[in-house]
Amino acid sequence: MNLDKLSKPEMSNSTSLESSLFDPDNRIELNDTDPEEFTDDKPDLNEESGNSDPDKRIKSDDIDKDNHLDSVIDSDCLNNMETGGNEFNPNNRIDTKNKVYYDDNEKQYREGDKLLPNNSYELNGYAYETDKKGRIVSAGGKLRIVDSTSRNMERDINTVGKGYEKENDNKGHVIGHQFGGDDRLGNLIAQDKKENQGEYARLENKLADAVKEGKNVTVDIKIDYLQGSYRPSKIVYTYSIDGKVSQQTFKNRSSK
Amino acid sequence: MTIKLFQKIYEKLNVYLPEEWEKIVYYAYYPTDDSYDMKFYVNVDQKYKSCFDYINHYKIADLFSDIDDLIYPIRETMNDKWTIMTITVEKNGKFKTDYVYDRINETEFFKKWESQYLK
Repeated sequence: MNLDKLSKPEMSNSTSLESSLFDPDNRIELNDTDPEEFTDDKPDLNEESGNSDPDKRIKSDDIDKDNHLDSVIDSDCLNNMETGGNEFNPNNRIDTKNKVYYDDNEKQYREGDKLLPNNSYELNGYAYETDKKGRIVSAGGKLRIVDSTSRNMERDINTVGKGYEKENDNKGHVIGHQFGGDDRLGNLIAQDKKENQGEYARLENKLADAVKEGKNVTVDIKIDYLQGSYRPSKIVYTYSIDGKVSQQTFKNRSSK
Repeated sequence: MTIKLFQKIYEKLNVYLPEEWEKIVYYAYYPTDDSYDMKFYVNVDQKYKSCFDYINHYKIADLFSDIDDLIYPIRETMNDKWTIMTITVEKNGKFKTDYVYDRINETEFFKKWESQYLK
C-alpha cells in the first residue's frame, strides 16, 4: 500500500497516511489497497452512511443529560468512596473458627473459600461487588499509598481461580497492594503472571506516582468472565487523575 | 491497515458523536499485544472534549472492545506492529492516520500528542 510514509519530527519512527475517505480520487491513489475494498458494497463515511442515520446517532444534548461524566461520577462506587467510604481504616476481620469474613463495616462478605454472591462490600476503604457466582465484578475507590509492605496473602491460587486458573497465573490484586488493597480472596483474581507483574503493575506504578505527586486518583475496575469461569476474561481499568479520565483494558490471556 | 478498517472504526465512533462535531481525533495505544488504551476527542465549537467527558465509561469500554475486535486480528498479522495509531477525521471526510512504532514514555508522549493533535 502506498502509505506515503512520512517521518514526523515530533514523534520518532512514526508513519502517516493522509487522504480522504470521501473522495473517490483519493481512494484510487492508494493503489495497492485491495480494489475490492472500494466496491459499492462498502459503506461510505459520507452522509449516506451511519453519519446521518438519525436512529443511530446520539444527540449531544441527550448524551450530556444522560451520560455526562458528572452523573457517572456521582453514581460510581469509586467516587462515592470519596465521600461515603471509609478512609484507610481497615477493620475487616476474620472469624477463624467459623471461617467467616467481615468487611470494613462488619458486614459478612465471605464464608470459607467463597465470596458471597450478589454482594457489595468494602475492604480497606475500597468498594467491591460480586455477581451471582460470587466472582468479583467491580472494585474501586480513591487511591492512597500505604507504606506497609507486610503481606497476608491468600495461600492457595485454587481458592481464587476455583480450578479455572492457568499454569502461569498469579493471585493478582485487583486494587494493588501498594494502595492498601487487601491480600485475600475479596481483592484477588486469577491473573496471568506476565500481565500482573508487567503491564498491570506498570499502570499501578503510574497511578502511584500521581498519588505521590498529590494528585487525586480514583479508579473503577470492571471485571468480565466468560460463562462459568472464575478466571477473568477482561479487566477494564478506568481511572481519573485530577479529573482527567482514561481507560486501559487487559485481556488476561495466558502467557503459557 | 486499510481504509476499510478506518471506515469501520469511524462507523463505531460515529454512533457516539454529537451532531455538531467538526473533527474527531482518536487513538489506539497497545502497550502490549494483550492490553489497549483508547480514547477519542471531539471538536465542537472550536473546542476539544474527551469522550469520557460526555459518555458513560462503561459504554465506552464496550465501544472500544468492539473496535479492538476490528484491530486485533489485523495487528496480529503485522511483522512490524505499531504501538499507537492516531486517526483524525474531519467533517468534510478528510482523514489522516499516523503510526508510532516505538515504545513510548506515556507521560511525555501524550503531552506532546495533545499539543500536536488537539490544537
